[in-house]
Amino acid sequence: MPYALAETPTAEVRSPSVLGRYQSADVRDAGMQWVRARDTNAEYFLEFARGSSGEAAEVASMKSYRLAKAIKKWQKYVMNPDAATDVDALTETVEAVLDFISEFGPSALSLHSVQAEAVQCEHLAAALRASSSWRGQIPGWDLAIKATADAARSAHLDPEDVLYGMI
Amino acid sequence: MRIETFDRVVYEHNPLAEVICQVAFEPLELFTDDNIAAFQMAFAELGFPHAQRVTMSFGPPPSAQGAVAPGQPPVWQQVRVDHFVSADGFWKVSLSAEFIALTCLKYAGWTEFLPRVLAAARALAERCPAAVPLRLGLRYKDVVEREPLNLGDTPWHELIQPFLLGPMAPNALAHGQTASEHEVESFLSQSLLKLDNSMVLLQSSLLRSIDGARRAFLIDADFYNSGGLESNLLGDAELLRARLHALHEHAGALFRRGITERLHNALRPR
Repeated sequence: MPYALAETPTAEVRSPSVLGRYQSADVRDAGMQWVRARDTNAEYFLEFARGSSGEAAEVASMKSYRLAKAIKKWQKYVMNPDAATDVDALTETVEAVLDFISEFGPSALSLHSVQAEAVQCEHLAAALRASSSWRGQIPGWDLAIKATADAARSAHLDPEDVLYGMI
Repeated sequence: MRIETFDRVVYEHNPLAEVICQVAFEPLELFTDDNIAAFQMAFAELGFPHAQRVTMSFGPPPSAQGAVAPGQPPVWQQVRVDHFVSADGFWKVSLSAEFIALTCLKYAGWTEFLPRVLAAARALAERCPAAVPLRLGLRYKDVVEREPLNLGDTPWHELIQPFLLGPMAPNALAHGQTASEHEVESFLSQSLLKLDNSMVLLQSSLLRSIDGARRAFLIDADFYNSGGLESNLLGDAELLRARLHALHEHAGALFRRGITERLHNALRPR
């Protein structure tokens, strides 16, 4: 995914002498990048870490990065109509959804944008089943049920099987 | 991996701009008014009388907002940190639902720093005995300024070792060439390394003063343990002291390893 920075972000560092303050390029907003390898088509994160800090801005930026990574993780198979649907892959989706809710809360798991033609229905159903305890707090959860059913029909699957127990 | 050991020295021109110790723990329900008032009193007694609160919102960066449909508001979350600052402004305890940190802006030595860390940890443990520690970090930010050392025109490669200089190291981009710092608009390097008894997040960067007139060099080393920490770490001073001692041992050695003999002497070791 291409990612352009409008300007170079900076971080301020205090001087140990009386000369003043300094600024440096900052990893803060560069830490959200990933790149797709040509041969394997695998996606790699460009990893940047945040260090020990007591500053709210630094903690917020670290969490923003983790939020980005967590979104990418739960969407990995859900947003790929051609994704494998073996047990390992479905388990990965369920674990990613539960990890996401555990760290950021159910209200951050927005399902508003889910489009039937852009999802893998069995993974989306697994995500919905894993998050069903919080269905009232997850934006777009009910809409996503309909998207799953539509995606199942497009894939020539029975929506009632795919969404068993949820409709 | 190990870092070559050196005899610890204290520099007359101390380059340490910030030293931070942070203990991160599983999220706590800390922020009731009663709790914060109790912490404020406790930290005031420890020499941090001024309380400040900072609240920040954050959301996913633009590149990761695929989960938010057009027209839908992005998901925002909040971080809240309460700071308790010393009267001279050089020391600060920061407390959030997920960490406690001590920051020092005028570090003089371990014997002054360690007791404050232990006291802050004890204050937290007494009020939140269920806090489960997840990560213990000790971070040193050294800012090397040449002007106070009468090294104003000295190229960085005569002061800093190549492993911290990246493309500014001699012969990096062309044989026989050393980049002038005027040709380097910005430089930032980050490595996360496994040492024998800890991790280290090592960052180096060419800094520019806010007025643009000077350059300085940052060596930022955050030594930490994550996972496998003792559940009673915050409340057991000896345990915490031992873990911090192990992290502290690396710090001076890494800085010494990262600078040349010339800079070492110019900083005036005592």
